Amino acid sequence: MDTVALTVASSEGPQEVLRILIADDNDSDRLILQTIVRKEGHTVYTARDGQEAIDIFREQSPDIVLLDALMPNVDGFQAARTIKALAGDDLVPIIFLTSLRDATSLADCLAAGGLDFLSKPYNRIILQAKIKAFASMRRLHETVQRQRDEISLHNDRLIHEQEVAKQVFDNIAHPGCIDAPNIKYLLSPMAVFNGDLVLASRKPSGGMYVFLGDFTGHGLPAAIGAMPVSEIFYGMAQKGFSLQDILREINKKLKRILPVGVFCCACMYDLSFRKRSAEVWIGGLPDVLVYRKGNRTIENLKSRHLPLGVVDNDRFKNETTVIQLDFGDKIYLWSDGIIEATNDQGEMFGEDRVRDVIASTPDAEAIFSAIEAAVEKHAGRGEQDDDYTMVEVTMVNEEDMGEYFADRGKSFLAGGPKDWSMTYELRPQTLREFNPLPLITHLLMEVPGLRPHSGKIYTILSELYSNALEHGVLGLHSELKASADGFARYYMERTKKLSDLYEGSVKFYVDHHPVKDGGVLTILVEDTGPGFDFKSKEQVSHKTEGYSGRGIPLIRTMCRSVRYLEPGNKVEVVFDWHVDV
Amino acid sequence: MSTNPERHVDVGALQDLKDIMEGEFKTLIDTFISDSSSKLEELAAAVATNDADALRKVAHSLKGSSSNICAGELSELARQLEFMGKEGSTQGSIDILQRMRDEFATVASILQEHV
Amino acid sequence: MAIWSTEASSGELTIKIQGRFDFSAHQEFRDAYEKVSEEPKGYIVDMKETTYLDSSALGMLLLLRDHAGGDNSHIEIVNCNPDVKKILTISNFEQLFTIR
Repeated sequence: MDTVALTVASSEGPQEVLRILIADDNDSDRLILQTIVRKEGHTVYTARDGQEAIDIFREQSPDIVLLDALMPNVDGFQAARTIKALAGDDLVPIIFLTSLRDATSLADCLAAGGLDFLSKPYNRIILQAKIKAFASMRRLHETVQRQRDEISLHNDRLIHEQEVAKQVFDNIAHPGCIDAPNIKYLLSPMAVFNGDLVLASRKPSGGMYVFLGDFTGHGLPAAIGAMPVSEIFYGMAQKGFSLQDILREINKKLKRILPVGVFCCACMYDLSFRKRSAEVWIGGLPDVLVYRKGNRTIENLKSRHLPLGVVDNDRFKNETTVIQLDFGDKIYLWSDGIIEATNDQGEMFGEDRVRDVIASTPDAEAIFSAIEAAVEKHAGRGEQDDDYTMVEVTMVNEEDMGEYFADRGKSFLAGGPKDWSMTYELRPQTLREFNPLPLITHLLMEVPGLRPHSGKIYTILSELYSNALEHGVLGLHSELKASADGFARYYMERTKKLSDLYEGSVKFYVDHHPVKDGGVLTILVEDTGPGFDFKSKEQVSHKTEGYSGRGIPLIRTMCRSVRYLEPGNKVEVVFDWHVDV
Repeated sequence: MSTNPERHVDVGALQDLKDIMEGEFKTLIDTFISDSSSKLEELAAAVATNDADALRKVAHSLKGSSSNICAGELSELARQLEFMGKEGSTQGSIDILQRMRDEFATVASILQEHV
Repeated sequence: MAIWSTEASSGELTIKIQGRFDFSAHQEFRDAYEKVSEEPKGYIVDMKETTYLDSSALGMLLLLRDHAGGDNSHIEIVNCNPDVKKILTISNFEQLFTIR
């Protein structure tokens, strides 16, 4: 008969149709075998010797191979080895057909890559069972291979994603002043994927901020918080915001964007060269060490706050510890990689070992590298695995920063509006519906260097505006504010009069011009009210107790001058400011 | 000739084989008979030339095919020849060979009866 | 690492963590407080047999707190050994949990 496969279903129901290669040099044996296998519903290819078997295998890629052990012209063993090599990674079950009985020969079959053997006379039932078993094994193998390939692909994708994220981060990231002469740091390029973040920025008013953050988790989730923190830190530092303000803003951002359970243990400090001090905030980071060069002792600063991103800003605490630092004293920050570096015995490096290193290193300037060397020795790893994060900052004189800060100092006052004036008039509808103070303050904060004085400026604007609006335009009398009751009534009347307002206006005239290392701010506020007899009022010393009259005397202490102009509905203040190093 | 075919061929197993082979059974028997005949000649040549290796290989093949065709005695004789060939000598092989020829004749005749 | 939980008749759910409290505990810990018949009145996290605590464990405690009502939650963390206590102290978690 010919080679058409008889698809006779077996009694167990439909099964996989396999492609099976049969190699046997004996004609009658071959005939019997191929008939049995075809009857099982499989497709059969036949070969008379080893070479033919190899050739057919190459052409047809059968699923299972039945090989006679002893054949002329390349025997079964050799054919098996060749076929296995051709199959490569794939599993092609090879079953030896043999009437060999001795253990050595049978062992040879297995050694040649056979998975099993079938003895003569051929038993149909046994053959059926073995084919089924090996078909199942082959399917399993294919599944495992496929899953392995999927995992490998997935893994490659993850690595690629991380690389892209790293590039984005690098583009956003700001070197800040991490390369300043008084800073030494250890930071691997992929540190951000360990959740480690190190930031350092010069402050416009002198000194510097240093930040170390340790985000929970690993990989992309740990890195993603670093980007907004970095932007907030550098953006606000440049504008002269305080340590507490920056921390609040970072906490708020992280609380909002990070899922519950993900947070950032951090330390941030404000180092002032002039005041020889550091103002420190620690939330969730283990002890920060302060090294005193003079007597070679170490102080621990402890974490007193929750990590960033855990609670809302109304529960966020930004109390700091202020420490005095002498010239040469150092502050050490690190993430847990250093402390938790383990050796072969599973021992962590620990803080005690750090102290030992410091104690045995008399030269303060060699301490940083000594710690680095000790950790690497302890963990026994080479250069390739340095995922330790450590920052050492030394108290120096600002002049010692030399070129580094000198350049930057010049540029910090550059850029931004320094020499300008503007007039801003608010008419009834706006007076009713809008508070102009934040807007005007914001405009003034764009003046480089003015931000540290924002508190005073807001107070000045606020006092002048409320006088102009309430007394000038609305016609309220401040005497009413003399008592607690009166205060309440005053504000009720204010609300009523304001909502009924249809005429009148308040005009701001603001002028700023720069001087060496500072500027002069002139603010004039004019209202459409009748004015008042300011000359006689000025002679009377203003009461500083009670609910009224506090405003103007306070402003006088802040400004160079406060002047009323005829007929008393105009007031001009001149505010001088300088860069406070 | 023995009156009991069972001594030479396992008739029950042969019937099973016939069921499996269906229409191909005759072809199988013909193939076996012709193949075995030439193998017997090869054995004779091997014995004559004292070629132990050839003896072993051919006897091995005949041993397998005889067992598949359910001719137990023939297969056993072939095994003995194979063993001799493995041992490296052809001594005593002429005798066995003759017995094989006789056995084969009987087997062939029984097989053909079943076709 | 194993997690046991018991509901007391007083309405409190005690969750006990045996061994290392780390990321591998994630699902079980969560199941312990999510798969309850009734919302407990309070929670007790028993660290008597907890050998180690890492930052992911801190995260899991925060998730529990969030589940239990955030600022209105009643969670006690008890029987901490010195190592566990140290970690909780550094993170200042006593500001969010009652620690005994």
